[in-house]
Amino acid sequence: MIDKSIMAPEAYKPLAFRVNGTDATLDVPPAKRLLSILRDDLLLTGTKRSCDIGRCGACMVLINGEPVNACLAMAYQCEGKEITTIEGVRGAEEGVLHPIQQAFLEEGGYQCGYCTPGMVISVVALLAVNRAPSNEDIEEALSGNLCRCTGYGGILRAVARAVELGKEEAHAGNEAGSGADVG
Amino acid sequence: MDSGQERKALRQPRVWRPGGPAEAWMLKHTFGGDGVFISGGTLLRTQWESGGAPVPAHLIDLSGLDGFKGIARAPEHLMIGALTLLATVRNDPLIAAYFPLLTEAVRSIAAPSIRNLGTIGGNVVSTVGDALPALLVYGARLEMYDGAQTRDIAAADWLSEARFRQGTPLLLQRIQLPYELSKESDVPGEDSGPPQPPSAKRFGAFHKIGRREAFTPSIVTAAVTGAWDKEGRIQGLRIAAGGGQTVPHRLTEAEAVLEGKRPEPEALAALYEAVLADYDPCGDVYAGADYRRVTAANLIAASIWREAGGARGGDVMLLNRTASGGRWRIRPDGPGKVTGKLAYLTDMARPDMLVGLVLRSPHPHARIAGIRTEGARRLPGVHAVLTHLDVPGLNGFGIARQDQPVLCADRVRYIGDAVAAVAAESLEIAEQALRLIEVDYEPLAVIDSPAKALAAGAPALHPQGNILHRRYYKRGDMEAAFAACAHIVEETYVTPRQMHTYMETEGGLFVPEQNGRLTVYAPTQHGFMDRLQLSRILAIPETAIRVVSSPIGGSFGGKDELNVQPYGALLAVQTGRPVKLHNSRLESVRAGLKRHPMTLRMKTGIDADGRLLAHEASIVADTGAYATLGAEVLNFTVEHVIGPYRFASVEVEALSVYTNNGMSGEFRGFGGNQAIFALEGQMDRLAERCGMDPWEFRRFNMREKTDPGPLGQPIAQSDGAAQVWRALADSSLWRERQGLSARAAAAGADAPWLRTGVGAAFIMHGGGLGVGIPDPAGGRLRLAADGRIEASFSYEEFGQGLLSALELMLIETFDAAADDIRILIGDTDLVPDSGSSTASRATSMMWKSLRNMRAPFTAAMLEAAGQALDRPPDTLRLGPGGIYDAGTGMAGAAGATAAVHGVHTEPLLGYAELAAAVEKPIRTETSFHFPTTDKTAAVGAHFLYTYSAVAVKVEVNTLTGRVRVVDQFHAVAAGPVINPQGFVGQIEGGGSMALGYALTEEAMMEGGHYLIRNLDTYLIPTVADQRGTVSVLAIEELPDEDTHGPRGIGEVGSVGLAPAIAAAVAQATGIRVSRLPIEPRLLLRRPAFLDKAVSIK
Ligand code: FES
Ligand code: FES
Repeated sequence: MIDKSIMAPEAYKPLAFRVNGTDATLDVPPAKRLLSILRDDLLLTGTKRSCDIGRCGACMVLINGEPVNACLAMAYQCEGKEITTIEGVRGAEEGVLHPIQQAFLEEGGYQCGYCTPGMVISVVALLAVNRAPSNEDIEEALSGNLCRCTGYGGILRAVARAVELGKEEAHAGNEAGSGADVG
Repeated sequence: MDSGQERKALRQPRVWRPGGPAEAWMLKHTFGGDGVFISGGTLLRTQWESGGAPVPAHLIDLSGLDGFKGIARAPEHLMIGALTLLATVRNDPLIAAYFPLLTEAVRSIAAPSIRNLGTIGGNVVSTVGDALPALLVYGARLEMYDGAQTRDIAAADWLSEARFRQGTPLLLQRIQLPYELSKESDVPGEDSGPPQPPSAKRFGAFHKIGRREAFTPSIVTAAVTGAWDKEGRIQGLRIAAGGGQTVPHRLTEAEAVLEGKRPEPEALAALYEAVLADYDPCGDVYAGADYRRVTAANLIAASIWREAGGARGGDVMLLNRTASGGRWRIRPDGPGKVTGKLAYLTDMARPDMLVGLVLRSPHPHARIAGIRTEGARRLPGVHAVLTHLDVPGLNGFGIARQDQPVLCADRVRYIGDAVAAVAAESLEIAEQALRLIEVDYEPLAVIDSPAKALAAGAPALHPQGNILHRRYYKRGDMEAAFAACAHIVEETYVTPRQMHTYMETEGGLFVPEQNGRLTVYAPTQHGFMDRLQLSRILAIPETAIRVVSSPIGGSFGGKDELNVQPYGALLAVQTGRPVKLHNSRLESVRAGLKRHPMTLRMKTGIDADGRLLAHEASIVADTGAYATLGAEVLNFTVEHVIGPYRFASVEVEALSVYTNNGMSGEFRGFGGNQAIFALEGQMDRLAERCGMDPWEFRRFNMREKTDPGPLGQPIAQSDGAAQVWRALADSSLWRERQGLSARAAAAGADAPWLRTGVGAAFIMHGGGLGVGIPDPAGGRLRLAADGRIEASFSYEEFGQGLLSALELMLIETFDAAADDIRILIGDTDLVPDSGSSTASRATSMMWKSLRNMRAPFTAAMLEAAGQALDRPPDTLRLGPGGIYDAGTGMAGAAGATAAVHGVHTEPLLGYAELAAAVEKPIRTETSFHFPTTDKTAAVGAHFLYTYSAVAVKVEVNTLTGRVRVVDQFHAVAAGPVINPQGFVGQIEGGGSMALGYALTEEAMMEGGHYLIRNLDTYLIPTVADQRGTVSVLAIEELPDEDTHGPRGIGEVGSVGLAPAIAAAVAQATGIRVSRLPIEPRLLLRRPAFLDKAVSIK
């Protein structure tokens, strides 16, 4: 027989996780989607909603550093995890853009901007593990992020620019012995 | 829906987190059909959201079963825990070394983010996962737990039984993959070092063919593995194939055909035939079983043939960042977009807001016999339930003709028709309220094609019948002209229903203000038009409504017409509370506009020299249930099927027909896309018929500079047509074409099934709404109290870079700095009505407005400054930061550039000081009409045109029929380039839409219902579909006497690529398609190596 004490469903345990470096505890149903938690409960609307089924990447966030579609992840899957949304992406200091954001800005890697937060998140995730991605690597990493406006030209130029900025920074970092990192 | 389902859908599932397989199994056993095992949940979530499966009452989360995660080495096999993430499998070096086909297969599943949630076990138990063919050829076994014990079963056996299995739940724990070994000594022992990968004698291939290049549902998946013996014979051949809803299976008969044989042509041909016989795929609306079968046979035979025998270049951006220098600017809206801080209107919320939802008809055509809302009204938390009885004003909307009911009273005409609207305290309550509204429908015969609508005796969808609009144009003597032709080409072109697919679905916030006014925060392309339409519906004055409409997460014409605004406005007024609506993608697909599907029949003739003599076109457009801009789109098509060519005799007859299909309306290109696809198709066919080079044929028949427009109307003259023609003829891409004959197009001996072709298209695209249609324009400049030069226009920023273009123009017009400027757009309370941001008109109209206002505004500024400084105004000039001595510093554009580098001198008087000093406000306004042709011309005829020529190189894989766009060249003659970054972006982005139009996009309907529901089946291009270079050449030169400045470029990029792709495909394969999107099955070819001797290494 099932021991009810260990087998209680998790409906009533509040969700405890970290969002952009801050601990958060929320009383939400365990199957609630992370996308709705971020946008409706935490008012972090930088994470966008578009397809609700993991096909567009507008809702991309990092969970423990890995890119995940917030419209697919459910509350219980985020328990104890570290979530990074676009609001948590920034440069070395508060108020300074992340080099990847800077690259998108300079190259015009956006038009309407609705896909941009998700796109930036996916590039952050890519460059964190691969500083010099090949075209195939970039295609694979961004294949889950749809953009209807740009035809991806500006986005690919932004990624190339971000790789360059990363190299410059790594170079500067090595000289200073600080091991500065992109992403 | 029955009430049981209602409860299920409402219920939040409980999540159980068993610690071991026994507990998990017990839970499943207890809950039966009410409980579902869940690991990553990616597939389940998709099914729930799209209504494919109900949300179960109990989720049995397997992620706590730690013993079944990860990859471990056992003596005879590799073990993969069922709960191992797909991402882990994808990146595992051991799998890559031993089971490379599995790595390949997993790489093709969805996208990295999905693979970070989804597990290999989930992919397997779905029974149709793309990993399965690879697992099958590797002889995988599955460890299953049945509540009592763990047993292992061959994956192949489990799959073949899967369809029939009922009852006892099974829990997949691990997957075993026996090592593929060529030598006994390769077996890795417990303590031995890293095992050696299989020796090179083995071979394998994995193929996944979808409808686009990445993140696509599969159509065919196939895995092949085997080894060569010393004599070059095949040993241990294993083949598995699946795809779509086909449960993958081994093709054992096909394997047997080649086993122990050399891959000679006869043997390969036998294999090919055996695959055709042995592989039994399920067809669907996207690809029939025959296509799948032939594609699988081609791929499998080719992988063995290739085993036996057998880049993206640097970007040449002609208009690019480097070439643009200081004019390549960071957009004013950029920082907010890259940081996510910019709040879109669908991001807005108010603490006291209600959630609004619309009840839409489930029937494409029905009479409404009754609507009962009592149940919904009684539900706690519901604040309003509205039907047609609650519309105080006009129960109709439409930019041109208000024939679409806000809320249907007695009849519904398409599956998006709105019947009721609710506002409630939460989305869940609102959803429940919709389910409680009872509507009695009496289904009527569904008119699901224009042919049915036009048939004698067809029921009339509207009082005037089923024809929204008819357009006829004729000049010349058709009969005589055709009689004189040496060659005549007749063809029927069919174009698809394309979806705008703006990433932000429709929505907004509707706020009743304290002062009794209503504020509407909802994306649109013309705020004042929404205000007018809403005032008619609400029966309140326009001045009582404020429409805030930017920023917009994409529109492309799709948000010009009202969408959720009437419901939000009515609900907000009724409840006195802010109401938010935000369409789900499903609802957006169902209710939203699409590009008109059209059938264009053409008959075009030339004389023996290739000169065009006669052109006849008959066009039928499916406009759907209501008018919106269907008539205007059709007018545009009529003008553009004549286009830039000199026909002595032309006859065009066009009909826009009401049906019970989804709504068609405005979409980037505005009817030009369909027209140009057909017209350019004719030009290519005629050139071929008379043996002329297709581009030369166009030059021979092209308009001259002083010719009238397509409908014989006077137009603004320019050399655009000749300029873009020449640019394309000189392009390296076009010259490359000359080197490719259809025969030599085969790309090397290694992959003879890849065929390359280059094609081109010529476009003359009208800007503005055309003559006879109100097309007002204008704007305002003022010096604000804080010293900013404030420019106000009613245009909208939906991503095209309008803010950036305006900022640049202001800087260059007034020699001001970016900081001196403030731009106001998208708010009817703040800006004058400048007309709509449609028809590629906004940039032209801002340019003209600033040209009109430059002198009076500058004079007023200098006049005031002169008074303040006590100097004659003509000794002063405007500059960055303020007023300067006209004799010092640099003026004009050079000054602006200098300002960027921070080397200007100090102004005599800052703008803020000037603002403080002036007595009467400095303010200039302009209003005018978009330049139009002669009033006697046909309604909609244009005056300003953008010319473009597009060349494209494609690669066609004749094993699969899939077309891949390699390189593009766009020459665009549109006058001065205002905003280089925006210009390139518009052409690249428009091109991407055309690529989808040509290759993957079609919102299919059947019986008035959409077959596509979301972005899993409606496929727009991914980054992987956009390989290769896109070169954009902007031709800025205009005749000296031209006063119209920049022409529109927002649409033209979306028009020409599709016909160019069709032409390139024809060069590559010899096949001329007449239907979009191009069907891969038409391009399949039996591999030549099956029929002729080939050398085997
Ligand atoms: S909204 Fe999550 S992937 Fe589209
Ligand atoms: S910028 Fe609009 S969707 Fe990418």
